[in-house]
Amino acid sequence: MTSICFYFQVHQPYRLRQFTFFDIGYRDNVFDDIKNRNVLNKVAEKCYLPANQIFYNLIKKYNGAFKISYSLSGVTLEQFENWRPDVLDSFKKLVDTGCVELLSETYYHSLSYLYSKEEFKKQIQQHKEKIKQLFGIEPVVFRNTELIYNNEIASYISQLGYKAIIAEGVEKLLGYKSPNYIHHPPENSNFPILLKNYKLSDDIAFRFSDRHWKEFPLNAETYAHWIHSIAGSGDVVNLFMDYETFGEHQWAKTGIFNFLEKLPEYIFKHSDFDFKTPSEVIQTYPIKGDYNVSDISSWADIERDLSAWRSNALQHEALRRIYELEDAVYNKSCTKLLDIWKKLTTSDHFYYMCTKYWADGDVHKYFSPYENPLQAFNYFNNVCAHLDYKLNKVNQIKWIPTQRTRSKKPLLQKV
Amino acid sequence: MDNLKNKSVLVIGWEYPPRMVGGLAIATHGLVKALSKFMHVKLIIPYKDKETPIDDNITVYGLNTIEEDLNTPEFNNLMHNRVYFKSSEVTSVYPFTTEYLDNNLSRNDINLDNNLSRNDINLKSISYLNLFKSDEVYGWDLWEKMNAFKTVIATVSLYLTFDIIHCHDWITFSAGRAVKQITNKPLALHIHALETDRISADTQNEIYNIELKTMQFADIIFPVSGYTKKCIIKNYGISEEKLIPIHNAIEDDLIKRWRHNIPQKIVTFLGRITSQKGPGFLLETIQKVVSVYKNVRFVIAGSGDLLEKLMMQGAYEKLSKYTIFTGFIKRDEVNALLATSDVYFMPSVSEPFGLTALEAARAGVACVITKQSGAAEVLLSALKADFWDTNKFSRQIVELLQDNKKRLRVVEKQREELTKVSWNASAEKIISEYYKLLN
Repeated sequence: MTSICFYFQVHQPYRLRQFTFFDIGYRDNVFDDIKNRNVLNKVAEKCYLPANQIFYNLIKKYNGAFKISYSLSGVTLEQFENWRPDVLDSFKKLVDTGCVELLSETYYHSLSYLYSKEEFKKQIQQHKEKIKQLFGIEPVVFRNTELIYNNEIASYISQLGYKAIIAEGVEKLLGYKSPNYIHHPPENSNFPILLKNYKLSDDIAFRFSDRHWKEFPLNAETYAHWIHSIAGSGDVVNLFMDYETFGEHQWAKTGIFNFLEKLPEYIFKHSDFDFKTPSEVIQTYPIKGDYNVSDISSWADIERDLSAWRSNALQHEALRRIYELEDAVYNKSCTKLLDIWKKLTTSDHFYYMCTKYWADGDVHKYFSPYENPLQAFNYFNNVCAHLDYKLNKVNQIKWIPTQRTRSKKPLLQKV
Repeated sequence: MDNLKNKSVLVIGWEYPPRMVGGLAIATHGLVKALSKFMHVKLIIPYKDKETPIDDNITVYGLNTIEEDLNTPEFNNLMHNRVYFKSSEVTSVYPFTTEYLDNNLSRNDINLDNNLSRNDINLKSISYLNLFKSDEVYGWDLWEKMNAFKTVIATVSLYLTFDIIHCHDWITFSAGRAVKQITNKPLALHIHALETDRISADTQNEIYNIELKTMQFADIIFPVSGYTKKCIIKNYGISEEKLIPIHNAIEDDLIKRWRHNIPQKIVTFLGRITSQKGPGFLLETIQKVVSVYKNVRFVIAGSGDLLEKLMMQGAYEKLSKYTIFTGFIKRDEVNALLATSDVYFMPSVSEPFGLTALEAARAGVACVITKQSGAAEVLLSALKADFWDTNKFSRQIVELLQDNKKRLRVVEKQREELTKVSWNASAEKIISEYYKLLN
């Protein structure tokens, strides 16, 4: 038997407004509500609602044999609650079928693991609570922001009690190994890793509408045939991608929705194939072999590393600045400030500052709400200055004892 | 000077409000406005917009609107009284014309017999005029634009009455030269910046050659400062008698100071981020200042080819906490920024004038500026250092930030010095030189 495991990432950041020198110290609403709401509405109409409907129909049609999983970032859920409760309802409806698993991640879709384990843990917890509050379930499989992964993250996550973790199947790290089996980190042979089959995933996510691709136009029959050819040489085909692939990155007119609707039918033509959610996969199949990632990998860009968020000085500096404020923000214990700060940890802010591929008008440019990476940095830096201002505003700093174990040194200076 | 009342000057400019890239637009506007009190000004610029200022006694022609501009009663009147172009006069300049004007403008284009109709020039120039439909003041097709500008203006100049030609900066020089060759009117050049300022003192590129050739050909040259005059003598070998420095001035607007919410002191840099403006020295100075004085934020306003490098380097040095980059900002924002700044910092490598320093002084900001500037001749009490001396710059900035009394003393003295310059005084000086040329 071979299973197909779908996982879709649903994420929308809180984009910053064009926050200038004249806003520092004057404007507490640092996010571009109008833009964020417009984007959410657009993506809801083009992707979330139609795709959810298709998946719901498929689940009903195949009587529970068709299964998928999602990871919904906390900031996205918040936006749904505020602006598009109908979209949230359609996700709830999907989850209620019992054929949809929800995964765990950081609430803010952040890079916090790399900068503050404590914050990382808090954001995972916060996300867990949100999922429980909205859907009444507790996720058991973890995926880190943009599949950022290494051995250390795996052991950290296993210590937090998760049953499995999701990672990119990086070709050069896999070597002769296949992503179509469950692996384990070198140090921990009981902890399953699900590796993305990047080739088959990217065929849908990136190449589907590429007119220069020799397989264009891809139909469900051909694709099912490729998957069937794995029979006997794999337990699971992990197809992980951004949910926005459907209808947003690949527009409806490319035929992506038809492709989705037809795919299960062709997959089921081979009786040895079915669909499973990540937790079902790890219950069904054994762990076969280790997967060693000592450096950090991710699913971004062709490098599959951190360079999308951390390759130039601006990105490093912005990340340094925001995590430098962590202690001060927590010590201030002002929920409003903490909320802003946490939303600033969202990885997208640093993605917009990436100068890699900028000139080619590549994906970075497509996703950026700003004119260029320099502006993205400036607005972010100005918002940091605003936070700085707010933190220093009151002369007398109230010290609220926290349970923090790290650095006791106050970052705040008395003015 | 009253007998210039009936005369007029053809001013050829490039940057003009509202299209402002640097100080050139403001200076050109300030000058023509002051000149228009003495004589009629016909101003030709590449772009005339709805927002282009309309002033008494100034007629503005934009290449993007020239077809409509020329369709005025004044122009139609000219069409019927072609006494200004006597064939004998024109024939004598023909050999020069064909040599200096580019090939696109042939003998047929400058058709000087009396049968010439308005449609002729419109048709000949129409393909050139398309270049001026874009929004960019300079842009990638700058050379093409410059040549089209020259050809169109040379042609149009045959239809306008004027007594003297006055050009602003190299990009208009080819046009000025062509007009002088065709009409035999005296040519005055205004030098706001030299290629040797923008690149380096030993530059000898194509722009340098245009500047050199036109300065040699011109009847009089007005550099914006004594500093620029020296540069022209040194780098271009132009004789001193032709050079009359004319300082820029600023409008006497009252700028109300305000206090920005951020508690730190504000040091402002304002200008294009290009090598001429010394961004490297700016960064070095910031580093030295914040190593001893942390209660400060440097606001860096402007854009340019070195902006990315400057920002990257600043981030690399972990200085972002102390810097706020605004990118290019509009006039009202410039004024608001200056009105809340404590110190204005201009570390330019070579600054022919540096109008922004005067604007800063007017807004009550103490200036720390490069010795290699024209503004240093006006703002005698501003603190100065050689552009490379970042130690001295940083000491001066820290001193002004720490010693409020000293800062206010500098601000007051700068204000007094500002009262000594005015566009009117500059225009009077220019007019008296015109007078000499015309008599």
